[in-house]
Amino acid sequence: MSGQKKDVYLVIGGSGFVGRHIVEQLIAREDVVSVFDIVQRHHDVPFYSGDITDQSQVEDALRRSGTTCIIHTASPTAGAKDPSIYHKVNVEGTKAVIAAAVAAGVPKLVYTSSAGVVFDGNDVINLDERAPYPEKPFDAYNESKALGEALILEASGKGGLLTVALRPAGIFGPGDRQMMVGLYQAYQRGQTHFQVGDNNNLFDYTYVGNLARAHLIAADKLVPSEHDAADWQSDTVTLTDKEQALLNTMLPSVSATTGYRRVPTCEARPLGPYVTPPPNAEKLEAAFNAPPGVRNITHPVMRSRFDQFSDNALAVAPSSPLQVAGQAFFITNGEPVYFWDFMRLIWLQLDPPGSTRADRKTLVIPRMFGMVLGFLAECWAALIGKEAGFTRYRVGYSCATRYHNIEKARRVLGYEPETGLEEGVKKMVEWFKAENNLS
Amino acid sequence: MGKITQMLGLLLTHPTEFRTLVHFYLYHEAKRDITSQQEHPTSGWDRASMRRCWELLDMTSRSFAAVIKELEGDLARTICMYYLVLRGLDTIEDDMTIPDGVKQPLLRSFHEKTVTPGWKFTENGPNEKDRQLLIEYDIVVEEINRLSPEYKKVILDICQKMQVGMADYAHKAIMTGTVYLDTVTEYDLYCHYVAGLVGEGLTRIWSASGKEAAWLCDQLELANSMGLLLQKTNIIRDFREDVEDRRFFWPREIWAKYGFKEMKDMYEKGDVEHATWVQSGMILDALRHATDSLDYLRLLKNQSVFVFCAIPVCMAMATLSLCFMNPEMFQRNIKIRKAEAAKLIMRSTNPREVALIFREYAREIHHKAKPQDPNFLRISVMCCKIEQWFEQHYPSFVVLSQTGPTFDPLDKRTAVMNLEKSRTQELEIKRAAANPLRNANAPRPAEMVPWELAMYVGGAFLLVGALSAAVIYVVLAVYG
Repeated sequence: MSGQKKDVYLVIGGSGFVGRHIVEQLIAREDVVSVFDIVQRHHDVPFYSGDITDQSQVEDALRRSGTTCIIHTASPTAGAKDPSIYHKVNVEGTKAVIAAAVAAGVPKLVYTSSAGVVFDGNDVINLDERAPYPEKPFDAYNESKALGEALILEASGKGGLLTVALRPAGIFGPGDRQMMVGLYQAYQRGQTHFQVGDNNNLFDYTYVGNLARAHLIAADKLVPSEHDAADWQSDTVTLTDKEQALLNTMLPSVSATTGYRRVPTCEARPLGPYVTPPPNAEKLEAAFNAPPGVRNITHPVMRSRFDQFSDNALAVAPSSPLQVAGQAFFITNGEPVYFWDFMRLIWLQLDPPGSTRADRKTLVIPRMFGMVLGFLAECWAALIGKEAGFTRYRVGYSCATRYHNIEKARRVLGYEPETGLEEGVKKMVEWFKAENNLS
Repeated sequence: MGKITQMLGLLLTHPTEFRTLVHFYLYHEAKRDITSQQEHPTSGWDRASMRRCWELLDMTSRSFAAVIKELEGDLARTICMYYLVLRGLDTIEDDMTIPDGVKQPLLRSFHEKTVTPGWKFTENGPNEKDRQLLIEYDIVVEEINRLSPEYKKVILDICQKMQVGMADYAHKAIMTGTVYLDTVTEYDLYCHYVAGLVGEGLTRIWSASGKEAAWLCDQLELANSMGLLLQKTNIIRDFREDVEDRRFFWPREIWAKYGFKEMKDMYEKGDVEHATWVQSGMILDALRHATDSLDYLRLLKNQSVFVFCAIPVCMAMATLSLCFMNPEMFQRNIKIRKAEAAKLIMRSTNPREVALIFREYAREIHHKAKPQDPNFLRISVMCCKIEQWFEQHYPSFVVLSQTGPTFDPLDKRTAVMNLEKSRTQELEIKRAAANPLRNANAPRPAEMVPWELAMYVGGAFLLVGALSAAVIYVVLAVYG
């Protein structure tokens, strides 16, 4: 933010997958950053070792580092043996971080939440941030993330603290310790030509670098909002000019994977093989070569009444969805793909050159049949006392649709995914191969 | 007789297609008959010259003639003339027997020729399929000059822009001896000249007719996308025919990287796999325009305009799906089946249905995609953009049933709708409590009446009282 004093950052969970990428991006833009974590993996920034469920330890780190902006990414990985750890870290820990921030007078707190906070086991289709937390959460992990996020959002605007929560879905990239492991196992077992379900289900993925960038943007844009809560709820909402402008521009479709090309028009086009240049040649070319950005349009964006920014939705929003403070944002790559396609892309990258593995015909197992197989496999595993690899949970997971609408993040935060799926997967697989000495 | 045996054959081999075609012939009738007496003022059928133009339209266009004739009011005649002008221009551009020295000035002045009474052109090569149109072009000129000035202006402006582009590309081919388009940018620009501009012109005509919003004509990118989707689909499907006639539209950027030196290598060298990757690259590029086209269709209000625009793009999506991963496309001209076309014509009636059609073909394409294809993931992402578009504009949790829309209880978005509904009620109650006078809001009519009524009654009493007083005063003054 120009003209403003630069923030001093403390990344809680800065040794983790997402946290480390945030630290690296902060270092890259020459910000002052420290890390708070239970283990130290890197030695390039000041490190505070501690337990986030202990408010005094967090507070101490905040005071010693002179932090003005906390980025709280700490969370146990999903699939822990003892689910009580989730509540302890994600709820109690978050409570302690908020209390420490208020006590130390820290003005900003960015929280890494999860898209799972709205997940209840059913399909998630193009869902936006209006969705309430489910009455029956899917599991202990997602429940604890939802409780933690609620605490964070509730804390905004109180005790001099502003907060924002980011909800990524399907994080991948170099440093990943979850997605690649399972996929590599399936690859080694030669299971890559199996497909459960019809593969018409879209799934969201988020490249870790994009997510880290979203944290930085959210921190930069975390300022007191133009509408306070009371003002927003009083009678009819009048949007400021700035807010109107946020809404009434056409967002180009996300193009990180597909690449951006402007469609030529009579007002914006390359000159081509002209014999005599047109009179407005320079203007034509400049308009064509302008960066994608938002398109100003001469009529209001046409929204259906189910749209999150339709007039009727804005009128009943409990707080301004056009502000950053106190808001949650889905952050993904914005280009959901059919579930199995992403897996195939990764497996193809794992193939050594010249491999013909991908040529094998795909064996499609219908969902119902998969469920039966999963049940049998679970029984067998229970019988011989091992963990089942093929479970009903996994069948359900690979047949579910789960993707989110990131329009709010794009409009309000100005977030744009920069690294596309292909490039991101390439970076992840390269890292994975190097890490595990594969060729 | 041939038609009957054909249909009988179809009944035995493809019974569902037979059924579709029977439905089509029975139930799908033209929305408008331009020859009937009451349509003459707008269709011009009562004039011999315009009748000839309608015939010329039938001769030069198989696919567009039907949808053009169903447009409302004077739009049908206007678009018919627009089509004939551009077809005439195209027939000059296409003709390789005309030397560059003759072709250049001819192309560059075509918009002037189009309004010069008596102008016609007889020097097309004997094999040019639409040469008859230019032989009788004086009739087209006559009818163009009869169009209302705002339409005529658009048609001539687009004609001029297109002719310059065509002449530039034709001249470049002659001067440099290169027959290929190098980059996708050049390919896009060429398609803009020959098809994107058509979309711009059509859109301006819609706006000028008052049947569509005045701001529609400013949606240049969307209008171009419509044209580009159609043009690129034809360029993909007509691969073999075009290459044999030495018309090369596929940009080198897409095929040269697989080791092909010439476009004909793709069917002569036997490298089917790489040719298929080129094909999917071309289809991926065409799919870029799919969601823009849906955006465009959603902005339309007039049913006849909608159908005119929707049917060709649905056919294009069907054709793209047919071509995808289909090696036969390199060998011969493939076409979607008649029954499929009939079905699309019957279904293309509203934007939601069209988006569904797009999604069906997107899924068909996706299911044929192969992971080894370098375009694999980008194809997947592109198809998903169509899926996303559908969910954004016509969310699937809204179930259209006999009794009206209901919400799918398992969908998370239903929870959003319920939440908003209860908030609306809460807010109404809160406002009513906070401000009893203004609460008026929702139940306004019922509660406002007594107030207004009281005022009216009071006013009436006052008036009657004042009048009586005046009468008494006058009576007293006169007789008193």
